[in-house]
Amino acid sequence: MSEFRPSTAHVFGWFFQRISALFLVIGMIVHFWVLHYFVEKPLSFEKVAARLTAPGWAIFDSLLLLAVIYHALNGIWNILADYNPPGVLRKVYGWGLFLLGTATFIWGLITLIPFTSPV
Amino acid sequence: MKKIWSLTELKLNFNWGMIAFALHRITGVALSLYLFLHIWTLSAVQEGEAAFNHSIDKWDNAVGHLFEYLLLLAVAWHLFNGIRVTFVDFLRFTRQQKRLLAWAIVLTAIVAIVSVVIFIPELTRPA
Repeated sequence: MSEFRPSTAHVFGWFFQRISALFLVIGMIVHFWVLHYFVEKPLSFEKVAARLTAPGWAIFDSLLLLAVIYHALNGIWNILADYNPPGVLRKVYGWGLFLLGTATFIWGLITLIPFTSPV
Repeated sequence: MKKIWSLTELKLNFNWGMIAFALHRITGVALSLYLFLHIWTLSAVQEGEAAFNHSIDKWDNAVGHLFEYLLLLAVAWHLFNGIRVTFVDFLRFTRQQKRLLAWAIVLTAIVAIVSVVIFIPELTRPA
């Protein structure tokens, strides 16, 4: 236990895991309903773009992307932390997940853009 | 790091709550992995409309929709059990956690059963 340092960072992680979860409860129900139940299959570019040209939907999808990436990678962090990794590994995991999350968020936003302004 | 799956813990302290915890972890990891597959599939749009349609059409068959159904089950369980955890953490429902667990199981079962009706036409579509 000598390595234990009291830190508010863990409380933030716990708190925002639940805040992102509350948004995801609504977000995932809407997302699944709209894209798996409501839309007539098969899906296509036109059907997705028809929805995403509305700024409200584009903002909703961007927030959903941010929340789900945070929730997923912070969840992985929680699992890794349960195995009590040594200090160096903690940093590697932490920064690795942060960079992966940032890159995935940018990649996801770039992927959203073509739907918001179809030619 | 000796016991990666903590199976001993599951055996030593075996109860419904432990199964709920294990399932929450397994679905959490599975959904995290799926997230990357999902974004990667959709990112085909960066190469144009046709590339996107081709990319998602690969999932429009019986196997793809079975996968979609399993995905829904994983989301449903993680969502309902997650609400249970949040209720316990935020609203001091600690003493009612067993009743909440029953609710999580019932609601996941309802989603599973109702969705079968929606997914059957998809599952019978030829690959």
